[in-house]
Amino acid sequence: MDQYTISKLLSCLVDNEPLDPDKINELKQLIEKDKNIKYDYEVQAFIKSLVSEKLRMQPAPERIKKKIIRKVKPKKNWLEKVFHF
Amino acid sequence: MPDKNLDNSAKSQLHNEFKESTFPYIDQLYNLSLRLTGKKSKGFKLLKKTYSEASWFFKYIDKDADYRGWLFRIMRNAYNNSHKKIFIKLDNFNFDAIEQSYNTIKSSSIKFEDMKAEIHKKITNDKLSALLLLLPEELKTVIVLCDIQNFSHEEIADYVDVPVGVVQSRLYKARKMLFAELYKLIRN
Repeated sequence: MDQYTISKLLSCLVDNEPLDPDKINELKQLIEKDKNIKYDYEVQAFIKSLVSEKLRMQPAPERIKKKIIRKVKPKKNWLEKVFHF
Repeated sequence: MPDKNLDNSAKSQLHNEFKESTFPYIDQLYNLSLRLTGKKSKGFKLLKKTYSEASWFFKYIDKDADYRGWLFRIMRNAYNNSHKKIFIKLDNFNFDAIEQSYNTIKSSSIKFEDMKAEIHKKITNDKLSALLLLLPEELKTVIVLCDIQNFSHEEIADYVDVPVGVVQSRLYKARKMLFAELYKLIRN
């Protein structure tokens, strides 16, 4: 397996993406046998968990939501404002 | 939503439909806008622009469309259009230096477990956030969508408009680069 294919498969494994079971087994065997690939896999998994843990999703503040709602609310044109219809 | 042909009740109904269809995704879009721009004020501007554009085109979209995907694409295009002059593009980026740095760390005698513990201890949320901003745009986007927003590779490929294999390769590069930069940061 070439390095480019291994790098893509490592991303898939770390992110629990659907993969062919034979490919998963082949990759896991490579990780066991080759310490360089094992290191790469551990780095991928570590960075993923670090980013997910430290940069969690935050809810948008209520004042931001209200501002957005006001921005997209349909506005009356000048005729409607003057004649109140 | 401007449409002179709609009366007030129709406009009001359309507005309510727009809110119901698009506001469930506001938290995700808010987070993406923050991570892309790095500043609350710029993030808010981008979010406002996204919803503003979405409200213009809402009446033309199919009722059973993928609203999340549609909104993310609007945000992506709005961001790309306003920031293209200052983008750090992957093509112009010297990844060889990062590769060399990574390989040096790999072949060092420091145990990986010790490195992990040191990074966890010394790297704050703000420092990690700042490092993320330094990534080339293509790498930053995939990391944010995958590791923070939990999108699948296929969803990311759809929103970023590249093949799935490219997304996977970018994720691999992005994590590698973050690791090399984090190590440099804790060593300094």
